Amino acid sequence: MTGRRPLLLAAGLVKRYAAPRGLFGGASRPLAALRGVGFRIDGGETLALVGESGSGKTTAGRIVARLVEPDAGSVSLDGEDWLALHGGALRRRRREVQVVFQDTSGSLNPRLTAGEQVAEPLRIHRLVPRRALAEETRRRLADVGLPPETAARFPSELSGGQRQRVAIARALAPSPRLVVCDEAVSALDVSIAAQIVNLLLDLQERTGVSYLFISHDLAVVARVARRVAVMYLGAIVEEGPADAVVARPLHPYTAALVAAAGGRTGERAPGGSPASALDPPSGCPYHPRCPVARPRCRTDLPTLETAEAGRSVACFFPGEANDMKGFSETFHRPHA
Amino acid sequence: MGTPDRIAKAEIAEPLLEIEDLTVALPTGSGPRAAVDRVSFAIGRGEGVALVGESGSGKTQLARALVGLSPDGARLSGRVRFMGRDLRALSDSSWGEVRGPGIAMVFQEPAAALDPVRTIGEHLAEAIRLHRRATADEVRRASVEALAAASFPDPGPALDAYPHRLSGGLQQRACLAIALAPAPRLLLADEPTASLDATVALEILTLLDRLRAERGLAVLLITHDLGIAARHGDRVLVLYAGRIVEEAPRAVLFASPKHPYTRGLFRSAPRLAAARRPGERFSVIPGAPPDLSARGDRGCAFAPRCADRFAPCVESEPALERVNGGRVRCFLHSPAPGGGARP
Repeated sequence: MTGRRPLLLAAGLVKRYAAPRGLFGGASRPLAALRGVGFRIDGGETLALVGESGSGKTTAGRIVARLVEPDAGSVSLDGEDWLALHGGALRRRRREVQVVFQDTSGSLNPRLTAGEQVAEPLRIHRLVPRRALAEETRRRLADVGLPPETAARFPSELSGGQRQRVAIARALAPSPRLVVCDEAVSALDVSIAAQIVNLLLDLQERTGVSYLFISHDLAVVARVARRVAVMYLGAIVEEGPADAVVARPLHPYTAALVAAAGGRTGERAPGGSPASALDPPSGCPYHPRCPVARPRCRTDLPTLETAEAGRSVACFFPGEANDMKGFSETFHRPHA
Repeated sequence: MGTPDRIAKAEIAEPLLEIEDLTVALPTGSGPRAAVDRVSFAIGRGEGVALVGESGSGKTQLARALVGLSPDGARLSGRVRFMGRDLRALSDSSWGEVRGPGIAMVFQEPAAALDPVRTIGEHLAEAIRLHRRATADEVRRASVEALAAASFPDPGPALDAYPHRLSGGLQQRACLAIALAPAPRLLLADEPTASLDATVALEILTLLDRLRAERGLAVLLITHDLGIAARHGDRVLVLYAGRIVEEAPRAVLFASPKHPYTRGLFRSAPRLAAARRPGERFSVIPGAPPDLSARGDRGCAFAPRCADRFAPCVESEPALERVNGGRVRCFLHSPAPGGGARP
């Protein structure tokens, strides 16, 4: 951690959704999407949130982008209370935090050309004089590696990789401080995904923008982000420098993700489906899948504690799964 | 135009599936274009073959052609033989004897493959009764066995469950159980784990490996992920723009990929081992695969994106030539017509 003020500081984020009722009613139970999540992002830095479906990583990103309101917790942007902004005040400052989604069919308007998609935020936020708009739009498209003739094309006339470039140009058009990239390269082919990741890194170097990079893919995350937070069932279970977390995971769930990504723990991952947020297990939510769980893990909930310099973990027995010999062979039973 | 990819029958001791010169042409605005272009390969009994390609490579059209599910308007040519039977000559009714007990399929989206208003047990009963007469008790026993074979953690209660009650991983296990119920000899798995979380995906792939070892089930694993292919296939085929550009046993492919496209895929795939140094970038293949309608009929399809191309590459297409243990379609590894100085 550096001494300077963070660009974004989130603390104690809690979000519950009403769970869908069964066909014949029955009591509606709250589904805890986030159970007290906090993180910090510095200027020009990338924090990655990594986890499987249902981990809460997307909800955390949406709260930061002010697309979802948390039930509790705080977010400050540049020292100001970001969640206190509403109405016109929020509209004026929304451009400071932008989002790039996985699926451009939701983020690009099918009836606007690529040029119009990029020009719109420039015009709405009055960032460019009207007569300079066309020229600036072309420049912004060039910044994301698209030739000028792309400006006249509709999203349906572009490839998946080109559409994601347009979405990135649109997100960066109002010069945001932070861009939330929610599975931004997950739908793309390997060779195209690598191009888009390089583009995001280039744009960060050029503009100093920060990223909250949300992904299920630990291998991509390790290449993009300096710091990574691993989420499981609505909570951060491990946080630290990306290279250290990947080289020596402290939480058994992180160890499983590293194994599944073909990392050094071996090729076989432990089994088990992620537990349901509707019916979370007692104690540590990971204990039903955990190869090193002890009786204590079934009753007590570990909290995120500093484990060593710059690293924290929510586990009573940090590092054990990683050190376990034959970890891969002994544990791949499925769990309902 | 290159020569068809002849394959020596002796290479595979007991071919289960033999594909020779298979072309699947789809209608486009500029006339029919080959989504699958003169593809030849074979799968032996109990063998695991991984077919790698990006979107638009033709990998899904190839799989659909093998089970007679090509889209309307598709034109097929070439030969497909399964256990000695000519699949191209099958009538609609005879397909019923092949699909299921011969060749079964699982798909990327298990939720879409399951009928939401029927229980897992009803799905299984249908799959079992389609191919043999059985009493209710026999069906129930066979259903539990099929779920157990797919490592379903709690088979009994699962029979009465509706698909939406199951997680994605369990839905895919249910699909596998349904596919396995009529005891097929070949399983076509089209991106079976692309919609699953990483730890669950690895479990499904490990299960496929086990089914091959225990039951002698042959598997054609179709994936965009070279890492998955190299870990879970005995042999790997790399498809680009409808053409096989490289084929090799996994150890050979892993140790020394030959085709510039395969090498580029290996380089651009993120790997955990290498944490990024400041300023470092992913190695990338420039450009994008050609659209079906924009495919040229001269030269190597990969030439426009290839850093190693030289004059012959845009003039004619290299043949698929044998190169230590595998086959590769590239003039860097085979004689180019008219010479042409290599880069």
